[in-house]
Amino acid sequence: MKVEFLPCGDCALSVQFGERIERSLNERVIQIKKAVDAAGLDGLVETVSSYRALMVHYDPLRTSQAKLIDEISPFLDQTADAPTGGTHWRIPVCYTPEFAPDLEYVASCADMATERVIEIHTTTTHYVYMIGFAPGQPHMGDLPEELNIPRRKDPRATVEKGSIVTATGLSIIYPVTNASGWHIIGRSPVSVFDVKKEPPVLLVAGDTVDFYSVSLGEYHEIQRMIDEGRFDPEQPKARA
Amino acid sequence: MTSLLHVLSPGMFTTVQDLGRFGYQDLGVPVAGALDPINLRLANTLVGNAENTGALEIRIMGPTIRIEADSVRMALCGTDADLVIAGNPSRHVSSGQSVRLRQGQVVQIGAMKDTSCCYLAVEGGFDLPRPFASQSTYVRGGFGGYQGRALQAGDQLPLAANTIAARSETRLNEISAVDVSGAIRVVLGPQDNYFTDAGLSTFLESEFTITQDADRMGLRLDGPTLEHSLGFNISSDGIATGAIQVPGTGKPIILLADHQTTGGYPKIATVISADLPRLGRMRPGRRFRFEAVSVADAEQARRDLEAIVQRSIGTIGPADEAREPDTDKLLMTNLISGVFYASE
Repeated sequence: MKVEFLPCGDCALSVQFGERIERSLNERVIQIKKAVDAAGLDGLVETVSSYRALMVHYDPLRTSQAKLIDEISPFLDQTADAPTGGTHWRIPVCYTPEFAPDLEYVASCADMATERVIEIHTTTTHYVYMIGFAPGQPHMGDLPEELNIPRRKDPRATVEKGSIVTATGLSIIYPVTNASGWHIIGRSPVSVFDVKKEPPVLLVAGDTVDFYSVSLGEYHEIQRMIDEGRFDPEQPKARA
Repeated sequence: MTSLLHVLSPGMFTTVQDLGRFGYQDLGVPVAGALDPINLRLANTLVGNAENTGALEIRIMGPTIRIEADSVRMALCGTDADLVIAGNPSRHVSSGQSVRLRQGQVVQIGAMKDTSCCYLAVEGGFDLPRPFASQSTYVRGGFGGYQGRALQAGDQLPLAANTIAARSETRLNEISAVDVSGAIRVVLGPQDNYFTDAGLSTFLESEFTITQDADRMGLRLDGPTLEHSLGFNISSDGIATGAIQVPGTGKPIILLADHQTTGGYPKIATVISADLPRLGRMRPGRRFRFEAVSVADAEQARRDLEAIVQRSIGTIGPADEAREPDTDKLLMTNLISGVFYASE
């Protein structure tokens, strides 16, 4: 595996494992993150794993990039253990047109019916590659090649909290209302980020998610159950 | 009795900020924190707080606040605007000096002409929650600071202390690192290979202007278009504060304190940490160039800046209460314009 150290100014260093989005590569990044975090390196502030890179934030008054490269390099040579595995979740999604303004567009790009898009989306087990862009926001994959659709040229300024969006074969659940260049294909009543909850973030990198389709009525019913604290999306299951 | 600051008018965009929220970026939680951490640290030091205490970050136009506590000590730092205590006549307290205020007094910070942000610290800090171990307001996420948002008229900011002991006030006798002139230094990468040679030359040889599209998340720059070579989509990776991402428009965006934790546009370079405070102070319309330095030089520049900050902190001493306010202001102005950067 070719590993590169890329400078990100004088307070961060990116350890990059190739360019591709690939589950085995991502599992390796998460393993190395855990090892580096546990090592308690002097001057290391925090690490952030993404698809195929580990960002190492550091304090230049306490260490240097050169020193950190020396300290992190041995972790890259260690033999990979089997992935420890994350939590598996089942998350309801309402694919009704009012929640899914881009479902028809996605279906037309893939030359299939909208029902088929929903079927594929709900029968794929989605792996959480990373959390990022916004608090608790999971980036998940992979959809089959025919649903590998480029991002919108013109991002939307406002995409509602709970929206399920897709692009480039990946899916995201929007934790907060935010801008997005991805295609909106549904909405979930489940909150992946709630600062008042403990822990506030539902999914972490390495988890897996199955989506299941619910009607608008069921969406509102689940919403009520969530508000009353009666709904738990986690479903223990043998890991895919 | 609850002690608080009653916001009569909020100013343009006033938020509670400390030095930032570290350790939660892997959950997608941004760092946030002061755009100009130096002046936050100085303001806190002037009122005897730990440097990381949450204080008010004031943008462009300041708030008007009524004291609803037995007594409060405050200090404004980072601007040549004054803290004005209402009265007949009104009393002006210069930035860089602490002052003790009593129940019912009204203070105002007007328009700033010299910077985009300054800091108002109160002794003891605010009695506010610390989501993810920080009081910094992250407006897009709706948490931190006062109800996760910028202040509004009528807000009642709870103070940690109700009474502040009378003692001699303090002043900052040398103010440093507030100059905004000179090139903004960058380390190239992590994705400088996504640009053509022409794109890189344009980046390093042209002048850029901060547009009106400037907030705590980032500064959109106007200037020549930067040419990509490998397209403008990457698999999202981590973002450092100061990262300069270049989307498909070819116009760079410098990411500041409230930047997202990860992003999918190529980042041509990263502003060095020693130049982030003055970048944070820059206002729309400001023009500058970029200058590439090595990582080792960037780390040295940060140590040099820290030495300047420590020297400034060392000049904090008792305020001469008899000194005329106008003299204060003149002195401060001279000191500001006399600032230098060791590397320039």
